[in-house]
Amino acid sequence: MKPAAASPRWDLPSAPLEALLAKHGSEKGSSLWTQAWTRLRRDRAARWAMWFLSLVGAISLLAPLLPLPSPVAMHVDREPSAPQAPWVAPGAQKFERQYWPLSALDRQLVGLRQTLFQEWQTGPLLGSDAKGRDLLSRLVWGGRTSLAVALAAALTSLILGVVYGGLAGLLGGWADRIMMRIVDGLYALPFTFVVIFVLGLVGSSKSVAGVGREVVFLLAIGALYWLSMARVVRGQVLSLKRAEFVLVARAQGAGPLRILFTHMIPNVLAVVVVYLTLTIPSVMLSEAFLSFLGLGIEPPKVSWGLIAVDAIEAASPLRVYWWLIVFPSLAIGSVLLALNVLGDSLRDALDPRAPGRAAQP
Amino acid sequence: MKVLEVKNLRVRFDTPRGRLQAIDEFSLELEAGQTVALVGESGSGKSVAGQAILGLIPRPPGVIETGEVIFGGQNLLVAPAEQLRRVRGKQIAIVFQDPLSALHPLLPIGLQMSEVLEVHEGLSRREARRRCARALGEVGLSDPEQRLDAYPHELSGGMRQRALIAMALLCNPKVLIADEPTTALDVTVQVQILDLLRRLQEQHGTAILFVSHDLGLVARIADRVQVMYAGRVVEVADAPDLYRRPMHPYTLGLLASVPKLSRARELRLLPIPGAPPDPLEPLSGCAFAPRCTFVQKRCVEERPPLAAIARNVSDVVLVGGRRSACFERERVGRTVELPGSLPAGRQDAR
Repeated sequence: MKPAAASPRWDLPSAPLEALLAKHGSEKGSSLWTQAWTRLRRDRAARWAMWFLSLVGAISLLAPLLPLPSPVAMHVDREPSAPQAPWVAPGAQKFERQYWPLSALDRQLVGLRQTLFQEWQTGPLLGSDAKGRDLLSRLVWGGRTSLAVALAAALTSLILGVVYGGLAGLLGGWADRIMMRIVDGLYALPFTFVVIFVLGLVGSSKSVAGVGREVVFLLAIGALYWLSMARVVRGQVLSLKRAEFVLVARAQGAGPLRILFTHMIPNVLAVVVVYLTLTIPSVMLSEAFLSFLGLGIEPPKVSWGLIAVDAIEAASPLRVYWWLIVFPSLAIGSVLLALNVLGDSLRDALDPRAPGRAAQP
Repeated sequence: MKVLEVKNLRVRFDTPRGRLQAIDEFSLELEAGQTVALVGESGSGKSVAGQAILGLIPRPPGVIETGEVIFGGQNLLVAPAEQLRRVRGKQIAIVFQDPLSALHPLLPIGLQMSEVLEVHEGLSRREARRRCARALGEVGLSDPEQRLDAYPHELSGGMRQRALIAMALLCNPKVLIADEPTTALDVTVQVQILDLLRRLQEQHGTAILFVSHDLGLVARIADRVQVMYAGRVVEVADAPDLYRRPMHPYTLGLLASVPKLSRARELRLLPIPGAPPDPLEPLSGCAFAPRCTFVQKRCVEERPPLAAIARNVSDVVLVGGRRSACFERERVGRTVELPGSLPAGRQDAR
């Protein structure tokens, strides 16, 4: 038995302790997210992935501003031409302002590009496709579409899945059982076919009941992914509800809202963020797949799926236009890889128990 | 001064296999600065009683059938949720058994501790942090303000439990419910935690309800002991009296099964034969009857009430309000005297 006197700290008068506290300026307190961010920055693979994705994102956002040729200006008279070195013939051709109907912002950006670079444009750095369209420009504009679709669809699945799964987990009991049986039922449907069916119904009409075809397309893809998200979130909420630290929080007088926001959501969010970074790649693949089938983005718009279609159409037994295969594959592959790496690192970073956390500051 | 009184509490759980009577006719009185221990084996309902006081029983499946929990002049069992929340943590705090699962794994402990201050005293993050650091220092953690940034997995079991005790005492509650606070810890740490609790109790005048299955530990800390069996209180006594002269066969059995190093050679451990009754099929008589060596025909037929014992029963001199739920209590008290059986610690501690 250890008498109290053996630990002088217990009898520490409060004044020196106050001074000590003041000296440490210890009001900072670090949250789960700042900690995770620090760990993420220390992860080299994650840093590369983030840099790469930011670069791709920036290029996609600024696509109308870059001195690229028009992605749809055709030169049908020519064969697909191989990539040329950058010093060959930049600006050999005049810029033709030719796009699909752009949004107002994009129109202004293109206008700005014209005043900045005027007639000047890059040469066929990555070659051109069977219709003589510049591949680099198509990749950039296509990435813009593909990323936008992926983000929007992932967001749809996020909102639907988190709300639905969270509700099922929180309500529990009968509500939970019914809601999850519905999810099971939907899971049983071959969802790709459902999406194809829905898009087929919409057909080639520009809009259904005021909703544009592309919005339907986005929602359909999002709906494909919210099911797993709902399950993940529900499972997490269920286990959190029974967690003893939630009981402790209740025992301390925390109300239901407080418990939801400080104890449940951070836990759920960590899982959701990771799941989301892993969902985006598969959404991009679905987009490419559906566009490939002619159900997604419609020409003259470009997406990475459509570029792949062009490559397949151009290929013939006599001649392989390698640049038409290699560059789009590289674009899709590298973005998917970066997203997967980032997702993996995020999972590690959001777990304080993971090894590699720095010692106490 | 009485701070907490539980009257005739009755809790059941509706399980898929049937109704489980977790506690029945449970009463308790707790005075300021006093430590009352609830002792019993697993499933005896002692933890349920502790949690029911704060309304922490999950409902469903739990149902509080009857009873009152009187605190500060109001019955907590019927108090509106908002009012109950104001009592929790502020006036009555609870420390749980497993300090690892009681802490949020993804939050630094400083954030978790300051929650109770933010809820009840509306302190800013900064002030709360200061108070938490001081509380951690008070329970004997070194470098308190750095520990605030530590995650639960970075602390040892004993440190975690100290942090939880500090957290429970942040608002200086009148009552602390310690639900097996030392069970998950090793023996040397157990003793430290007990000493800590007793020291804090002396400083703040907190009343402690100490839930445990360990009679040896209880001897170190309790002023009064309530022994529970199969959801009912079977014996109530001041701690020294209980250890010297148990007056319920179950208490006797518990004491005989506590290992004592000093007498290991002479005495073999005497386990209580049999197992506790199935709580889904309550017996009509005394729940302990099937395992009891003093059993009479009457014990099987009717349930002995928890009755006071006359001050002097033949040669046995009794002090304080002792009560025992046994028809044969006087015989038990007369036949058994355990002079040297008081577990070490309490005599020299007080």
